[in-house]
Amino acid sequence: MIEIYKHVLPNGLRIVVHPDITTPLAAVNLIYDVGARDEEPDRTGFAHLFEHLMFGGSKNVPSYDEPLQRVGGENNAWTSNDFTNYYVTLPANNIETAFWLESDRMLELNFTPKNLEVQSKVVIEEFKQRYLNQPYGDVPLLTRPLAYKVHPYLWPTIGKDIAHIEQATMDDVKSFFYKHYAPNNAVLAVAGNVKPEAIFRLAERWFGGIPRREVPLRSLPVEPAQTEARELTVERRVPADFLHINFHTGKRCDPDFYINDLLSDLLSNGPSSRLFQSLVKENQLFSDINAFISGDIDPGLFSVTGRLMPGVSIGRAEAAVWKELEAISTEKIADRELQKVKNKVESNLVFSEISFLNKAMNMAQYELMGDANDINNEIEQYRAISTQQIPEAAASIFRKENSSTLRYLAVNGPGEK
Amino acid sequence: MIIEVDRKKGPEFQILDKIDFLPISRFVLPNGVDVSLLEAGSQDVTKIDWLFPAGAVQAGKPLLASTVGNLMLEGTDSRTSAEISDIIDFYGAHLNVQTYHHNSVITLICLTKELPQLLPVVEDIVRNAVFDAKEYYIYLNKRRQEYLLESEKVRTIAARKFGQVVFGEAHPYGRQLELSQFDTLTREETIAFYKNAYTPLACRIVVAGQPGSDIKDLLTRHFGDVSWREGMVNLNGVSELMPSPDKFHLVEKDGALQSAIRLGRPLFNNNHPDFIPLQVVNTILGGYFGSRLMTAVREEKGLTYGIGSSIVSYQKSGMWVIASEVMGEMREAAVEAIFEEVKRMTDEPVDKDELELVRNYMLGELLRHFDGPFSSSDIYRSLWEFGLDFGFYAKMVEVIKTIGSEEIQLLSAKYLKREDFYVVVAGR
Repeated sequence: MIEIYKHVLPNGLRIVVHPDITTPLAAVNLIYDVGARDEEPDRTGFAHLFEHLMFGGSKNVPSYDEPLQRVGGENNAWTSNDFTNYYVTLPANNIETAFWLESDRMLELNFTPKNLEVQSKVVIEEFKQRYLNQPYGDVPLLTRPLAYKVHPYLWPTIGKDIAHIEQATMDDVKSFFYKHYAPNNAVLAVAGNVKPEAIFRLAERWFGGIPRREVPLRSLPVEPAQTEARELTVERRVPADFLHINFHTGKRCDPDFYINDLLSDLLSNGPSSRLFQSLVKENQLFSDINAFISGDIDPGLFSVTGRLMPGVSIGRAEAAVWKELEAISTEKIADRELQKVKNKVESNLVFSEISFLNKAMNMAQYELMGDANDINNEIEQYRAISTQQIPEAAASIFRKENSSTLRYLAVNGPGEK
Repeated sequence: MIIEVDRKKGPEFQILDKIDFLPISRFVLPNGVDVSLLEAGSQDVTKIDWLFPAGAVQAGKPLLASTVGNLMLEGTDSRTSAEISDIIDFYGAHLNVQTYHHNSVITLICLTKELPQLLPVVEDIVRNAVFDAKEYYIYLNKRRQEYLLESEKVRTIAARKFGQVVFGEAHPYGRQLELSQFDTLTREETIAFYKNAYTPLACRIVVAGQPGSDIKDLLTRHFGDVSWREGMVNLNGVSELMPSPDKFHLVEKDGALQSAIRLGRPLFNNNHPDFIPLQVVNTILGGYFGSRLMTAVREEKGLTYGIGSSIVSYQKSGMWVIASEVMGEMREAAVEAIFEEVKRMTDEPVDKDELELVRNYMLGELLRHFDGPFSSSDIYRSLWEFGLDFGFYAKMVEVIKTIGSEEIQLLSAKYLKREDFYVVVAGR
């Protein structure tokens, strides 16, 4: 149970606070309601590039990192298809420095051509390091456009193409900032050794003067229902064949999110899970296998992925995966098996509440989705799920005409033949 | 718009004075196994580490120690692999084994209330594992696939080569796993090593969290058995270092878009008097986001997504290593840019402002490292390997607060000579 205090500033900034006196530290987490889904199709990768630019100094502070490090702080950020999230941890008695720095870069960035030039290069190296120069690194670049035809989830956060990052101009940067970086488009969450009232006063002092901005209403193309199975086969120089099947599912805020989450746990969370026991251990078709849900704000994906053992044909591996998916769609789940994944959800929830940074990050995200207090109701949502609901959910998701299959085949691979 | 705050200057701040380390209580089980307890935290969760002298050094060859560590979980004389997995998952726990050079560590993280159900399973794994032939075969085949995948990454290729170059190909710290060793390892070897290494001899237990008042009884019942006989392993010896005579090594990889680079030198471990002050030198050079290497190679030149340096301690040696993945066609420029920063550490004194920043950053970082019982217990466990305790970090706090720019320059001149550095490149 996380104790949560809330406050909203006149300019629309929402603030959520959780006091945790067991740590001498505090986390300040600022989440903006903008992600890769808000990009233009010919300007992809921009939300993420922008995240990098946010560290290039702001209106009154030439460097973001330096003053933070000077008070013992550390920070980082991430961009997803839905959100851009910035976070700081620092000794709690120096927390005001985080308010100064975060508010100044919300007020106005220091837009310099040099910053744009260097960060474009850095992001291009990140693109290469993560997506092009790694075995299987380009998988997201292949599977997303297979599963989505019109919704912007069809590109990954890094972008469709390096060229989009190279072409970014200063005008793009400025217009993106004023469109999305606004107090009324963000949530500030603080967890750690702090007093809620003091945090609200700090927020007023530092963020109160930032004007509300005109944030365009989001109107994204709706992905039409998929009606036939999609397939793509590619050949790459990798050590083993790889299979990736995507299925369309619902939104993060739909009630069946929790059922789908347990369904993915039954299939692949932990060494006792179904896919691992059957496909890795018993039949030795895969060296590793996973099932997971994306949990996106707009309708997302249920993915099943695995790397094949040598000598196993992709057809055989695929048939074996489908057999497991059909079994969970048609057969009754034993009470104990469902209880097992529920227990795991409960204990992981307790483990995650050890970290004050985790708590700040979760509160911010939940508040942006609706209400930070929903964190405390989650466990009830999981507990309420019955054994009948699992096959129902599985049967509605695991349909051939709802699937997009990537067969990623190893050719002339280095290593063994 | 009216802004009442001074946005140019920023708020006042305080400098960290000291770190409050968690107290540790110790007791010994009837068979001599030593237990350390760090009792803290707001959640009823427990983390237990079992340390055994079952690392790669004792195994004497690659693959053996880690295979034994992982296969222990795959079946005992009374529980199958599937049954063990099912119990661990059912109680929402995490159980894994990691092997290092000089020891292996079994880690259990669970809700405290489940300890009575889980400790018998850990006891069984440690004492009665059977290394079933089928499990052995499945594990090694799976592991071979992971090895092949890792071998494709320039980062891994460079890291493996760097170890060989700095410590020597035959030295336990330098020798690397090769594909052929998957065919020569035998199940009999794993059983023999298990029987000798997983015994009360040099076994230690570290408990952290809120394990409850009966933890001593539970551990005594499951790990204190006086009839559990000690095994026989090599507890000390490693051979002399045999570094490569060549300072530059290139491992070419066709089609690589980036080159992974490792630059560094052999060093001592954290028992050496210069080790603590060198942490400050390392932080300035490449130990944090605002470091000189990150600033020059990423933020000014845009040659990489990331670069960092670190000092690694081993029981009998250590190394100082700078690692990055850089634009393939700019590899030479990147190496020169790195050496330029290395040289600047010796040529110019660190200015007051930069040193103040690094001091405060490092103190904040220590505070983060010691936050909570789990991370404190990890630090405690690694210190113990060197015969040290939290006093090591109390001393580090003092050094960070008082070290001057002259000392930093002198240490740099002593340890950052270009001629002492090895350069390893994987890619092109």
